[in-house]
This record gives sequence, structure tokens and C-alpha cells, in this order.
Amino acid sequence: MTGFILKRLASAVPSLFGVMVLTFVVSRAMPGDPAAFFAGPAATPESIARVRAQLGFDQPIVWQFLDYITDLLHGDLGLSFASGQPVLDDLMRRLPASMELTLLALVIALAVALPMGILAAVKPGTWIDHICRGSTTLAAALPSFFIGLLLIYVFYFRLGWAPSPIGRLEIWYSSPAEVTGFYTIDALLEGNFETFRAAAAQLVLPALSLSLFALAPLARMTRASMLGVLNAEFITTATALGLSRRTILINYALRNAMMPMINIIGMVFSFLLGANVLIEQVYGWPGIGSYAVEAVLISDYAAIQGFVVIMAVIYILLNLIIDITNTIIDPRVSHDA
Amino acid sequence: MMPRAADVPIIEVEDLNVRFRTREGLLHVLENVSFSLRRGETMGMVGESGSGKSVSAYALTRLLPKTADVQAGTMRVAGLDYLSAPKADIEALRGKTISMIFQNARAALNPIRRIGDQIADVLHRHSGLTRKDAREAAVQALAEVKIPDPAARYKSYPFQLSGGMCQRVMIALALAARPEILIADEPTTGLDVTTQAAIMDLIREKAASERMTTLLITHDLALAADYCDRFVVMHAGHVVESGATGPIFARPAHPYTRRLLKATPDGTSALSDLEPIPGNLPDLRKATTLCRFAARCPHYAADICDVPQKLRPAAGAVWPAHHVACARAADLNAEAA
Repeated sequence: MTGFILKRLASAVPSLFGVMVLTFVVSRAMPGDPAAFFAGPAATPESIARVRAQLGFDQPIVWQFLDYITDLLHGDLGLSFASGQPVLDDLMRRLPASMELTLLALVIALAVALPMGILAAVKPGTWIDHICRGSTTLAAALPSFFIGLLLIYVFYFRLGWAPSPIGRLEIWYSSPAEVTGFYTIDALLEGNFETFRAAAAQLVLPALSLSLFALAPLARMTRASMLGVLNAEFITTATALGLSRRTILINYALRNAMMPMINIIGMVFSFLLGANVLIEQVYGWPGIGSYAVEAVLISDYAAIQGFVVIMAVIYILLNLIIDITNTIIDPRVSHDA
Repeated sequence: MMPRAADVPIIEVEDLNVRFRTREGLLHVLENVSFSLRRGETMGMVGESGSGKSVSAYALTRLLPKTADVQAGTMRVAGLDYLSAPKADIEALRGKTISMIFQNARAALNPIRRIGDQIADVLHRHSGLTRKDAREAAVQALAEVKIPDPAARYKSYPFQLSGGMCQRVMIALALAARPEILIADEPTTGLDVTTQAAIMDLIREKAASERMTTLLITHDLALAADYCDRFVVMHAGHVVESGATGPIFARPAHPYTRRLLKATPDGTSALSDLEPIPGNLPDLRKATTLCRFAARCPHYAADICDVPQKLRPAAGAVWPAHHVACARAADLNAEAA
């Protein structure tokens, strides 16, 4: 298994390199001159040139790239213009916020989509099937930022049930001591239930908005995958041998249907990380998505590159986890594949 | 005089009609099909692909899809009257009283469950064994179908076994709960000839030792002749001939059976001596002639043949149980003599 993981990690190196080249090129091709931005509104051409030299932007592009790669290999993603902090520190501080939100959204989406898809497949053409199709289509048709705004309008502005959408905790709470970086879990570890409740309350609306986005693909794929398996010959065998309906559905159908679902869940998770960018803006969530948006707005090269590289690393790790899960579930997948 | 238990048929089917609701309208797949099996006997059901053999078998286990409309004059399996019994009672027969083995054993087994566990599932369900005892009994069941090193094979997955081994596992699975009736649906199709013989011998041996009633469904007349006491010949959803193996082979009464025999290799004649049966099965979506073999029959005579086909004792049959559904059977028999 260790060899398999190492091999998979090694095979990720070329794609990681590709990502680095691409982000470098794209960020340099973006409009806007960071030197001018930093030199300030009263800058003279001379002072702009000075800033440019300080930042290394007067060097040939190849040198800039080699510098960038060398720094990366030392774990240095550069300094953010905006915060003045190392980009890696910024990202690592914000990553748990995004992860907590995305994972909760995924869990909510799965908790609804899996039973829904399974029921729809077991009773195709019935009302549960139609509800499944209708509701997921509706959820998919509305853009997630719109749903975010709608939920804020209804639950915060109109009903006043939700706390103000200004981040992970309202200002009069202090954040729990960092263990996992997930406020809800850290608060529980501290035994601080009030903070837990507050952090959870902040999480609910953004996680819901984000989960609606994932609901449709998950429910649809669960239904399709389950339907396919239920029509398989081995289900007929199991039925002919008189196994109980429960055994057939869970031990025979569901386990087989979950195999393609693992891949879909992985994909949906990466979509969610992308969709996060908008939801974090709407809810003032201090995650890496909103960080990236701010970085783009001010041409913060290092921050943009750092964000993309971190995302690429997350995707690669995610794929590794999917592959490992698949080898555990499916005996036919060999470790040397 | 009361009939002895052995004389009471364990399977009794009279005027079984199965229609499928399809987009093109009703497909009259089985029309007035009648057959019966006595306890302990092995009966063959022979015919081309699409002649309705498997549909008959599936009707006996209530495995037909919801689009099938099943009507019958009499339908009784192991003392249970299908026409009046609740659905749950019929389904309770599956695996325990009436069991099935399928054509493509590899596809008929759960691809991601260890074969031993699949057998244990059946034992746990029907024999009231605990999980642990079921596991031991499953190893025993694998040994009984002559799988070498059964304890090790218990842990195998279907993809790790040959087609013949998979069929042995399928047999172990079907016989695990010691059913009274075994339906073998093309059990050796796709296996090489030596494996075919080994599998058939295994089925015969099991049937004899368990006094099990066996319905062998096959398109292979030679195979049916070797292993069956009796058989019925099916063509396009009709039973065209039924009787003991010897008399049918010696004196086939239906033109279709005759042609079927001429198309069956017997090991001595050259391949070029075999005569293919002209034409195809009639398209059941369209109105069919009363005799569904009419279009392919060299003896078709409009004035005689256009009558409802009924099974009648074959002319000149020494054994009264030889029946044929052909209006011209008597004069054809006279011609042949």
C-alpha cells in the first residue's frame, strides 16, 4: 500500500509542474501593474520603476520563473502584497475555514442526496422519484450565490433566526484554541458549548447554500448508479436465492453502486471548493476563496499563484484518497494500476 | 386409490400466458404453456433463443419484471397455489424450495463480495445458521461442488475464478439451502465442452443425491437427451411437443422437433450434414398465425393448420405421455411410416 501511495504521488509531479507553469504565465498575463499599485497613486514613473526592481519584475521572465520555482521548492510561496505576510501562512490560516465549510456542505448534501437517490432508484417513476428529480433540478438551476443571498434575506434579515453573515464567529466570541482549525470541533474539544453553538450557527447558512449546489449531481448519480446495479444479473440471482430485501439493497446493490459514487463525490468536492469562492464572498467567510478573489482584484501575483498551487495540491491529494478508497472497496482494482 | 406422493407433480403449470407490455404494444410471449414435473425427475425445456424457456422459468420464481402480465389456468409449485397464494408466500419459496442457476455465472455473482460470504448469506437466510456457522457450512458447500482448497477459495472474488469455477460456485449457492426444485437456465452455455460435462455431471449427481426435481433449460437438444428423463420442446412461446426422451428422439412428432434434431450435432455426422432451420421465430409484436411455426414449416397446409394448437397424444405413441401440438402430426406420422 505504501508503494502504491508513493507511486501515485510521484505520478502527480508532472501535473503539479504543469500547474505551476500555467499559474505563472496566467498571472503575468493579467491586466494591471502591481508595481504601479504598490507605488501608490502619487507615484512618479521613477518610483514605479524602483518598486518594480524591488519586486524583481524587471528581470527576464525566465529568471522570474526560475526564482518562483526555487522558492516553491523551499515551501516559499512569496509575500502577499496585500497582507505583507507569507502567502503560505495566509493560506494555511484560512484553509481550515474553507475546509470546515466545504466538508459540512458535502456532508449535508450527501445526507440528503444518498437516501433520495436510493429511494428514487428503488421506486422509479413514483412520487419520490419525481420529487427527487424536481427538487434537485431546482437547486441546480439557481446560482449558489443567489441562494446564499436569498437565505440571508429570509433567515437573517426577515426572520432574524440566523446570526449576521460576517464570518466564522460574531465578534464578541473569541475563537477557540486551534487544534484542528475547525471552530466547531475545536470548541467542542475545549468543552465550550456556547462557542460551538455560535460557530455552528454561523456555518449553517453558507453550508446550506453550498450543499444545494452539490445536491443535484449527487442525487442524480446515486439514482443512476443504483438503478444500473439493481438491473444487474447478480441482483436477479440474489432475489432468486431468496435473500432478504434489506440484504439485497444494502449488501449487494448499495455497495456496488457506491463504487462509481466515490469518484463522483470526489469530483463534487472539488467543484464545491471552487464554488466556495462565491459563497465565501457572500457570507464574509475568511477562507481561501475570498482570499483568492481579493488577490485577483489587486493583481496580487504571489497570492493568486499560491492559491492555485494549494488547490492543485488539494486536488491531487483528493484523487489519491479516492484511489485508495476504491482499492479498499473494489477488490478488482489492483494496487499496481 | 390415492395417488402416491411421487405421482403428484411438484410443478404443475397449465395454460400459462405471459404478456409483456411494451412500447410497441402487448407481446404475447407465452401462450397456453402447460408442463409438469414429478418429484425427483429431470425435465428438459428445449428451444431456440427467444422461444420463451427462460420466461417460463422466471414465471415459476416470480422474477418477471413488472411489465409482465401473468395469467394461468393452473400454477402450483410444491403444493403452493400461485393463483391464490399471497405474493409473500410465493417469494418465500425462493432459494429454499425453488432455486435457480443462471447462464453467465460470473455476472450472476456479486462482483465485490467474497464467494464464500455469498454462500453464507444464503445459508444464514434459509438454514437459520448463525453467521459463524454459516461461514463454516459455506466452506463445506464449496467442497461439495468439488472446488479444490475450499477454505482458501472462500475468500476469492468471482473475477479471480474461471468460468467453470464460477458455475460451481453458482451451483453451491443455489443448492446451499437444499431446495426441492432446481431450475438450471442454460447452465453450461459459454463453457468449454469438458467443463460443460463436468458441470452437468455435478448437477445430475446433486439432483440424484438430494432427490431434487430439476428443470434444465437449454437450446442444446443433445445435452437435454443426455441428462433428462423427459423434455418439452418450445417454439415461439408454445409448447410444441412433450414426452419422454427416448420416444421423442426415436419418433419426433412435431416438424419443428424434427428439424431441431437434424440441426443437432451427434458426433458422427459431418458438420455439413446438419440442416439449419429456415426462417426466424415469428415477430410477436405482430399478429401471429395460430400455429406459430407455420411460416417455417415445410408441411404447412392453410386449411388444416389454421386452428388453435393444442397438445394431443402423439399418434402411434407407445407411451401415452408423448404429446404434440401439430394439426398434421397424425398424417405426417403416417407419411413417415
